[in-house]
Amino acid sequence: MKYLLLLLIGNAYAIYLNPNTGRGFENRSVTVHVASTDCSNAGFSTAGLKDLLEDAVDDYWNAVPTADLKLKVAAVGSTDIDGMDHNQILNAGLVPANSILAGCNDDAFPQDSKTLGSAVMTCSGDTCRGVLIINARADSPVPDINNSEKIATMAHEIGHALGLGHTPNTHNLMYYAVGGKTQTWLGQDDIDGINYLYPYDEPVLGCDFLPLLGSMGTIKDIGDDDNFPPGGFLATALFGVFLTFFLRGTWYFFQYFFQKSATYLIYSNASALFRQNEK
Amino acid sequence: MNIFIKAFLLISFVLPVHGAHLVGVGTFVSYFNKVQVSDSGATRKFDLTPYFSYGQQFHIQGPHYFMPEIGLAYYHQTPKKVKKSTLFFHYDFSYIVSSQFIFRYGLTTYRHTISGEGGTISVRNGDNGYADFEVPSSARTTFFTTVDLGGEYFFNPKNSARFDLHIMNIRNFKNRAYNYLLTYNWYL
Repeated sequence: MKYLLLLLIGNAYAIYLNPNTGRGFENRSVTVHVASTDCSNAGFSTAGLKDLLEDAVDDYWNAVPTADLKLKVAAVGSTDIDGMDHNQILNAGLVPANSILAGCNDDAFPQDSKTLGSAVMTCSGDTCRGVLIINARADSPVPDINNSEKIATMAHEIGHALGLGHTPNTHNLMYYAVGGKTQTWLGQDDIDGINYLYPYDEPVLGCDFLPLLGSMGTIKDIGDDDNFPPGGFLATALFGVFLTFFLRGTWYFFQYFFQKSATYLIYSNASALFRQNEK
Repeated sequence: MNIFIKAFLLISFVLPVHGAHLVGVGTFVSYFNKVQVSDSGATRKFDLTPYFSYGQQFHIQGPHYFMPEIGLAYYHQTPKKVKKSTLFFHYDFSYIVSSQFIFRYGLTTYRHTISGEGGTISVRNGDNGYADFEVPSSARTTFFTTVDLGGEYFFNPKNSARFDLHIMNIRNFKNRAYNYLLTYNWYL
């Protein structure tokens, strides 16, 4: 039996985005807040929900070194979403700006008894908000899945709350169903999608004068990150050395091929004459 | 900052150089053993993503060389309505171990671009339903840098086979990830 993971509105590869927004958060550090609503029908406590969310964040989305995104899970708060659907939660102002609110719901979950969870993301101007609801109805299927599937479910819904849509390729985390497969890692669609929404893309380093290269990454900024091991200064210096040697070599490479050109011959003949005259 | 880099580059053209040039073809494998490729949980060990490169070799001192290189990975398996490309800036050094083998180390900066045609596409959203999802509508470029370790075996002075391991997230053991390049090189 396939358990479903829904995005509410929200073989090769595929990257598709949340149809509500088509974008990600402006901020690259996103907090997942945990609602206090009872999760017992889902088979865990609210503290257990927080643990699952932390595992989902650490095992999946924070494990993409090519994306400029850091998720963190806050302590269980006092927000109660009981009896509210996604829109009611958003309209009530319960989701802090540029963050995600995750919680369980046992009486207003909008899907059927096969659905594990659902999520939405909405944006207005520079501000986005995500809401993630886990099915905690009396007939919820969540208690029937194993812990790995629960973590994958959380990660899938967080993916929607970050701006990703579904993929048609079954082995990816963002496929609509979690049943009938082992989801240990992200798929290529998932990685491409999160790279697209959260790229290291700030133009700097003075390289913007080289249109061939386009915008350069903010080496100073990403120098503080895990994927930029030796620090910004060393990498900047090495990049400069690289450019120096490369352009210099290219210059001599072309000189080598055009050394028999007219200009070169005239210069050579002139030099030979000059040396002859010296003698 | 611009003025310093421009001056740096201009000065570099004036300095003498004695270096070799090389071109290479091969395959690029990203996220080795860390990206799922099947429902059973199998991960990617090898991939055929064509890689083309042009590089140079400069003698520094003794058995040490500097070997900058520019490379391009061409993704033939791209998402529907989406294109990807990766440009590599390798700034590697090499140590001559023997007449047939060199050890390589350094850094590589990746320029990875994803672009889409825009519009919407219908994708499964539940057992019985479909929903329209947005296709990326613009080009986004992400930059990241890896630490490189590798080796190059020379069949003769003009031809070699090379393996480069690129380490991402080197300071984070749990989330460390690897890319690798397998290339055949011709020295001009």
